[in-house]
Amino acid sequence: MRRIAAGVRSIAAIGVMLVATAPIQAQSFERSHRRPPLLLPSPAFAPQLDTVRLQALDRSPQPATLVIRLMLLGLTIIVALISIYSIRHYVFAISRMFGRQRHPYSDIITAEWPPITVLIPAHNEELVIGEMLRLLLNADYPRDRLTIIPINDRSEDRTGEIIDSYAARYPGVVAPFHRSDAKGGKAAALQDAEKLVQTDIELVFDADYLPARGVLKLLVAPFFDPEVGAVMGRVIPINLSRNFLTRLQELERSGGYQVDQQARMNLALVPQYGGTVGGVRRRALAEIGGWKEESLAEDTDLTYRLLLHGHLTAYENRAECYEEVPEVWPERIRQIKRWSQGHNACLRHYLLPLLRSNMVGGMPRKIDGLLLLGVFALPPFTIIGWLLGLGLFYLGYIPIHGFVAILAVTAYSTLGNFAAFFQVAAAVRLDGSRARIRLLPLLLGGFLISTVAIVRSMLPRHLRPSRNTALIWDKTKRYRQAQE
Amino acid sequence: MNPPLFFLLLAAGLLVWTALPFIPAILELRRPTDFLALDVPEYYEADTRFFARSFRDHIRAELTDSPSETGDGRFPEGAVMSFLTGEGRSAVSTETDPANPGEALVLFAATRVAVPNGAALTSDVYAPGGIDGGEDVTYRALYADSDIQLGQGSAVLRWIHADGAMWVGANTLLAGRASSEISLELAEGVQFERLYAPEISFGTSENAADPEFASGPLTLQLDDQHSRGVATFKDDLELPERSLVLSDIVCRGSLVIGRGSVIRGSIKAHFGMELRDGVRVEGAVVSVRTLNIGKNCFLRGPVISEREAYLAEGAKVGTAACETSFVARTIYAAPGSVAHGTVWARTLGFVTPLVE
Repeated sequence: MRRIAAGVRSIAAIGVMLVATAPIQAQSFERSHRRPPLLLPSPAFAPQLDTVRLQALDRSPQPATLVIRLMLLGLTIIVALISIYSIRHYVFAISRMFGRQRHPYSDIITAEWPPITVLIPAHNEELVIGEMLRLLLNADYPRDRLTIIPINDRSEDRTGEIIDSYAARYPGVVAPFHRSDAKGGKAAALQDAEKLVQTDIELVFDADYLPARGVLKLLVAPFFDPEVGAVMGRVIPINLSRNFLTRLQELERSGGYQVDQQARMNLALVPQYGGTVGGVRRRALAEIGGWKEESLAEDTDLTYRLLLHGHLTAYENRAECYEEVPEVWPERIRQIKRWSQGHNACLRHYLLPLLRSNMVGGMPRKIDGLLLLGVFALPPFTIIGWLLGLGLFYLGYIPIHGFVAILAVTAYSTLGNFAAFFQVAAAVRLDGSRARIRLLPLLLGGFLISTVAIVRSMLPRHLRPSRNTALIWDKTKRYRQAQE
Repeated sequence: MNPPLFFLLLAAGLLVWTALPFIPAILELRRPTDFLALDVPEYYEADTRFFARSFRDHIRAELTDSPSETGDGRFPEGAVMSFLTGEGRSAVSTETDPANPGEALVLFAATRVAVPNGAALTSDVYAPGGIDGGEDVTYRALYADSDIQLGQGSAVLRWIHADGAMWVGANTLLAGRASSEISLELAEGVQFERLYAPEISFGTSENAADPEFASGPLTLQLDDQHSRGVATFKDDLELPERSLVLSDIVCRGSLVIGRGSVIRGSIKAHFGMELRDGVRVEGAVVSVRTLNIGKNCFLRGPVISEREAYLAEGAKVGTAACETSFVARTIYAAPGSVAHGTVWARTLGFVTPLVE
């Protein structure tokens, strides 16, 4: 913890120095921009230049000075913001590797298990729905307390037929729900299916997931805690051997679940409901107004509405479930854009309510909630930060002199860009699969592509779809062979 | 050195320096060595009986012929299996197979055997006939199709399971998992980690009595949240004696439930919880900090404490018909307390002496 505190102090000092030196630096531009354009300042000469600048302070600010000041202020804010996120990544990784691990519910092995309903939204899922149903029927959950509702959402393939065949074989357990002419989207499908659910706990699985035999009990156990409104399990890519992209996504998923989610559970912060391999308490769902049909990120939306109403989301790292990840870049980019749009919509909706709320868990949970809300808003700031840094440099401006400049650049580029990589490395180590860590440097490529995809998703034409635009289910392509 | 050459050398050096971490990455990409999906076990191995059952299934699968009491058997992988008999105490051996040094020796006890005082069974033992353990015996792992009796001062290093009943002598250490399909009786001074049995008795006490429940209960006045089934309190809460609560309670401070109260729902407290004598809770009990369960309390649902949990004399967790889980970092169980189902002390559990 002392190291963390020292890190925080260093970064704070850099931020303070950046702000404190702003007036001097702004003045320095006036001198530097009068030099021949090709004669760029060198950090080595910075101390001497500063001495000159200090003597030549101009007390009448010029428009260019104002621009420089604004650029500097922007860069300072961005560096501070990215540093905060970096510290968060490090705190999470350290908590996961050396801290006390919280799995309060995973040891509930025997209990009087409550009745549950498993919802499986399925839109053209003939390749995977049969396998999903087979595995759920093989679960070790008491059969007399289990209802499975596969939601055939306007499918044009054999999804409905496969579901009906299971319903015929398992009457009373598999109760299909066919939607033919209704609003598109997973949230709308779930909201429509609500009227069929008669249990207080409902679990949600995407149709392409492969639940292990014990996963239902693990996901239900946290609901014995009356404060828990939602539960999230861990997702593990099954098709990682396909190509470079799937292997990168496996690393990202590892970091996201094994470290990020579990650390938030350890620190009693805000684990996120992920929309699948999870569940929600219907009593809490009714209290917050049900699923939001228009939401592109119904999972994030649900997490925040529950949080604002005093319900907790629990993460269960041992409730593991296989999923398929996109195998081609266009598919992956579409997925990132969809997540980004949905998540940023939540940022717009819940930022102020969250700031105003007096929530359970106090300030740490509120800060983590705010930071989680902002994760998809960060990439544009990163790009702006790079542009500002370059701009200031090529305008002939040395942001800060000598040693401090090195510190600042180091803080920005290493903490800012690579802290998440540290988290992924910790996750791979915890997973006990060492050799795949070699791929870590290549995550830089994935990071850059994600950054661009997120920024593109935030362009004005994506932000406010027309009211007449119907929501379509832009679901991820399946690659598995059909099994019934 | 002239500037262009210096620049070229510097650029080349930087390029190599930058490329260094990418070399293993590209090698891994071209010739994958670690590309299989992470293993998701089909069965959750947290079940207390998981290792015992796996061992039993393995042994039964290997023992294709009925075991003889006169000779040794050999497993395909080379491990030696010795036989214990009622008289043949000399057969208790820790020798390893000379042809396969380091291989585990599996001891097979076809009939019920008595293990002498001070013996150390450092091999896994499969004892269909059951075991009568002497004092100060060390076991590595032990499976019996019938009853097991462990003498005082014994130690189990990995796991122990009895399809019949199990009695554990005083001051025994049960590291790892201990389970029985019938009942588990732990004497005073026993230390444990994970237990499972339809009935687990912690010591004995003549003073344990049936819980005394409220006969003329008071109804707790709840706010408008009552209609949603959860009463949330931001501060500490102390319920008076003989209260009746129909909903769940979430208390963000500490929670004290008065003597003889009845809670129909579940309860949770963030800053510790005390259940005074004779409290009955139908739902779950969750305490983020310490949990004190008073004398003759009855808790029907799962009990979770993220720190210490104290189970007083006569307290009961679960029922024979409704087994449940009792989980805490450290558990102190007083003589006369009983649990039905799983008891899991993440650090260690103790059967304490009775304190008046």
